Amino acid sequence: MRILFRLFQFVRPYWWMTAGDIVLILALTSFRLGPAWFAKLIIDQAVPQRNLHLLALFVAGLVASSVMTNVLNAVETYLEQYVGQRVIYDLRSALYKHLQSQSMSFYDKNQTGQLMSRVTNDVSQVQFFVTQGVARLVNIIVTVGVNLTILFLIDVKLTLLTLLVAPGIYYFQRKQSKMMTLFRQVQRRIADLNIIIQENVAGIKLIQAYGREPYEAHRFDTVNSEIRGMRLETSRNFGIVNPGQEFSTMVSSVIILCFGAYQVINGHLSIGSLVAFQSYTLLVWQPLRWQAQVYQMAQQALAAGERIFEILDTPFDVAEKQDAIVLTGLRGEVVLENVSFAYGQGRPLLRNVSFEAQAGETVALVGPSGSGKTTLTNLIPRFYDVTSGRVLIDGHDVRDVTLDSLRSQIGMVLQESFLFNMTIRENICYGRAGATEAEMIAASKAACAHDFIMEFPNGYDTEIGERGTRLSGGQRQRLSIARAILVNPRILILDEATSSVDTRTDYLIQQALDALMRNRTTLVIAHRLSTVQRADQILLVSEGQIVGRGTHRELLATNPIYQQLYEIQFQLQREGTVNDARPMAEVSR
Amino acid sequence: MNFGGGGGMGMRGGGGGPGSLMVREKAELQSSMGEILRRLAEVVASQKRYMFIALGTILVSSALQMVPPVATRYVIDSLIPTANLRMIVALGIGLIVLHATRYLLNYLSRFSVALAAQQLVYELAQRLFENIERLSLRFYERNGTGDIISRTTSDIQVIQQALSGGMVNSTIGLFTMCAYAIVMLFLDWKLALLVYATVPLMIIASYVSAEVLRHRYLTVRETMSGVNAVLAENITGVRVAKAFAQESASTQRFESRNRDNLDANMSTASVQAISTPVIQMISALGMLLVLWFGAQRAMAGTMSLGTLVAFASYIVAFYQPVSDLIQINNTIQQALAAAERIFQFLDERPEVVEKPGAFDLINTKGRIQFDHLWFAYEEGKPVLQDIVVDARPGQIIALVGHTGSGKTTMINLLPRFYDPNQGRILIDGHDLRDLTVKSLRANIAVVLQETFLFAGTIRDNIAYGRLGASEEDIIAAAEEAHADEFISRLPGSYDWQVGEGGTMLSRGQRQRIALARAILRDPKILILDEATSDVDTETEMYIQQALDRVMRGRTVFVIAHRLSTIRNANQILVLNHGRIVERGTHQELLDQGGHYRELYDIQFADLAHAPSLNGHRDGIPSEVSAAG
Repeated sequence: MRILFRLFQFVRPYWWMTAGDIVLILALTSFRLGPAWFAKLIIDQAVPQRNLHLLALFVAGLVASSVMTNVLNAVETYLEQYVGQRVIYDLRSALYKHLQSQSMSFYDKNQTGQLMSRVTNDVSQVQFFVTQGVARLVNIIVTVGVNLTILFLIDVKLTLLTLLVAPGIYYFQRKQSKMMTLFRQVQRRIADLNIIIQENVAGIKLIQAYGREPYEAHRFDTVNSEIRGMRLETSRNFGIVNPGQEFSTMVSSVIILCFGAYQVINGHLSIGSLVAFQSYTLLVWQPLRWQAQVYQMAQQALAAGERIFEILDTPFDVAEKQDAIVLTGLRGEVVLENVSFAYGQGRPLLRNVSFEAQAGETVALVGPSGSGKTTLTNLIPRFYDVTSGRVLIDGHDVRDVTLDSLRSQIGMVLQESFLFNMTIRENICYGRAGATEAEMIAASKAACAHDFIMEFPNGYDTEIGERGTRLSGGQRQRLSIARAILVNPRILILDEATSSVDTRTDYLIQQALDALMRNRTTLVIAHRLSTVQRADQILLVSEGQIVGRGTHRELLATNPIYQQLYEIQFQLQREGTVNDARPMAEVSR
Repeated sequence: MNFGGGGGMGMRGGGGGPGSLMVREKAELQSSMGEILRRLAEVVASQKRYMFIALGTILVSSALQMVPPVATRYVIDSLIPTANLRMIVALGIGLIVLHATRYLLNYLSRFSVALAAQQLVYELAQRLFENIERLSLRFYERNGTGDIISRTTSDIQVIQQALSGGMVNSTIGLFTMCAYAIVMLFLDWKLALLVYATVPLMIIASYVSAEVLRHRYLTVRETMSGVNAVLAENITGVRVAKAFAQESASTQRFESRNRDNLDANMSTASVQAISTPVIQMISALGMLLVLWFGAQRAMAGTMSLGTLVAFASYIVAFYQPVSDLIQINNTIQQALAAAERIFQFLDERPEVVEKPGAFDLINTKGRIQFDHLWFAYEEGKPVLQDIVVDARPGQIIALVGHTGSGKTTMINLLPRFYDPNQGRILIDGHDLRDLTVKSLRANIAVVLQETFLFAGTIRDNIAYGRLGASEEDIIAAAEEAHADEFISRLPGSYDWQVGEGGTMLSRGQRQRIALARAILRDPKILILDEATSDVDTETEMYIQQALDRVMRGRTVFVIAHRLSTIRNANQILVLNHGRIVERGTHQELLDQGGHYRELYDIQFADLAHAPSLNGHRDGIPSEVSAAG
């Protein structure tokens, strides 16, 4: 109920339209009574009296009421959609804005698919209820109430007798709503089948190489035949339910015809009333059939609404202070003071980390995976807030400055280059929409991207497709580097990728990175020997702590952990194979 | 399927359709309609029996529907004036029996149609799936993943919906309309003809509104997939948006897509708001004609009151199927388009086919020869030219070269993913095309750069290499691939469920599972696309060790990225624009100072030559051995 109430909060801005809609439904229902009533008058009065004048009058009444019904119906439909669609728009926007403002820890906890389904599926579920369900509910109550009253007014006994069919209609209707469950099960199995297909298309090379086609066909068959069985069951139920509802309705009309005829013979009913009675009865049954549907919609909307509000109620982990200052003219000094960090109540991922990076320095982070390097870099643009300690940029605690001013001066090049489904130009200018053509080209050139961009027929206006699928890995990386160069950040965070690109591309990427790192404070998660060798400071991270710091030479001479790491990581690069690693001393010479 | 809402209260809006639908509707029918219909009919013909039952029951049920209007007239004209109560009761019972019979018949017809339809859809899906499984890689390159998936999923669904819902309803609708048309003619032919005259109006109105709505629905779906696209992108790319402080720009982008969707929904709603009342007005027009002319004729005594009542009572039921039929027309159109696309895929024949007299490859030694082989994906653009290789059993052949030089194509020819245009590949002296595909592939294991894992347990994924492998074999393979120790640390160990695409595992872990898979297969020939992806140092070492072990005793073709691999290779083939430009061992090639030397300098210079602290590579160092 609370959820329903909150859903209606979204309807409130349009309350007068909603009120108008309800008034229209009332008017509509009254006008809808017209045609059958005029038909009755024609049969009972105009025909027996052979009064053409009266006939013309009644036919005119019939036309008028039916025109009114339909006009009102059109307006009502439009109004109902007008409100409903806007409510959905508002809800979706609110949800999206809220999602955008959530911190990274929120995205760590929630899977992409789940979040997607909140904004699309759940909102659609609510949509059906808000756009149709509510109006329909009012319609059902009004239509059934008014028509039933009329029926009783025409003939009490006939009405009571006709209502004997109601349990039958109710029974089939219940059965129908139960079938929705079955229907959903089928949908779920179809989703399973689709997963198999997707997997097979993606892994076809492997399947064929390993000769596993028969196995896959069998796997497909298992689900496919299960779906066939379930669908048959649904169809069988539909076979019972749909004709069943028709049957109940037909029985009621037989009752009306026969008992009505008896009432006519006894003089309790006119033939015209009998005809009208038939029509009004149908108007009672029809909305009763919808009732199951509305109930279903309401159920789904409530469940979906709960999930939506769960998201809307999630507080922001990282929130801007009321009096946050705008960070300008940054030098680029980064200081971490006794920083500890843990997700919620979990195990601390960083413990008492302190370091200072002077403006323009390159700080390399090295250490085994899972040691906390990435976590550390995530604290600087305030993707997360520290559990204790402080992160200072030019002496300002990052929690004291506005997020926008902080982040716009920090550039990030991540291991996986994420690009948006836009043109190359828009992607490069992503961080600085107002950049000039010359600036953009300069950035691309510095990132060794200009040449390959110009090879596309549309150059910078080439659409890169979803997540840049039309580009190679190396091209994507260079675009993301160009994007960072264009922002010209004072502080750069780099997660070095040693990914699978061919030799020439690798060389180009390295050049691009060199261009990017020049004259900036750079924090780099290093995988390359050349990077650590050039760094002003190396921080050796292990299990959330800094266990060594200094230059490459210093660490190599004094730190046994670094020596070990070096041996494994860089010897391999250097010598190519583990087997013929040369002694330490010779290398450090 | 319709859930009972009729008239003006049908399902409206329809917000969240999948984007693939629009592709389907946009596609024009390529081959002739008749051809598709003929083939569909062929498919349906296999279920003749059920179809005949369905048709028969629908026919009888519709015929029975002619009785109630006549009964109504009989009651009013004959039974009421004569106060024949017994007859009324008898008629009532008769009518209820009639409706009960119709209920039974309707149930039978729906169920038999379902039996036929579900079987057909099942078979169609199965045939389609099995066929695309057999098709060569070229097919997968020509058709995008999205297209293949949408044909095998949503197109099949469209057919299923049309067969089980649309076709039945349209047949029933058509017969019902005919039944009412006949009975009206019987009741009073003049009035009947008058009513018929309004039918074209109804058809035009329904058709126009259906057409307009169809296009608007398309826009609704397009805009909805626009919303979804922005959403998906911004959720996956949220780190980038945050890093560049672009949340407000991204919100704007979303708002504009959301607004487009709202506009599309409203434009659909406005058409619906008008079209439904217009169609209802036409059936009101029918009522008006019946009452106006009917009442006058009743006054004149040329028509009975009972006939008038019967007409007035059943006129609405007569119009109902007309507008339904138009709506169903859409379903059928879509089904035909879907059928065409499905048939296209069913007609695809694999390019790699087994010869009739193909024999099994047994006891392979593993000698592989490329004999003046040429290959092109497209006519006139050779990707491989005059390739000659002789790999002795147990040798490691390393392929190096730029992207697009033909390395991947070369290794794709070995398991016969493609056939060469000219020349041949021999295994132990046998042309690949003389061997059964199954026995050939049974002797080859492939480890690709991007490790593909299937949704299932770790055990399933390793056992993929050899169906029915024992637990010990699987663990032994995992141990050899250095995978056992991380697997045993996972909850459930070998029973751990791999997520879709193996997302929960790191790349290094995925690679080791792929290696275990290859080891379990124990092939004579190993094809390796070496990955140099971002794995941490320890993993890198493990993978290296595992690789060294796996390669031992096998003929290996490897696309090499690691120096150690290249050094260990018996032959290095340097490819450039589809030709082997240099060949030899590492040292020989280095001494030659050609392409290989250049490649080596670029790729490994960074590792072998340590630049000074602030130095950056303006030139490529010439002395590789000048390390330290």
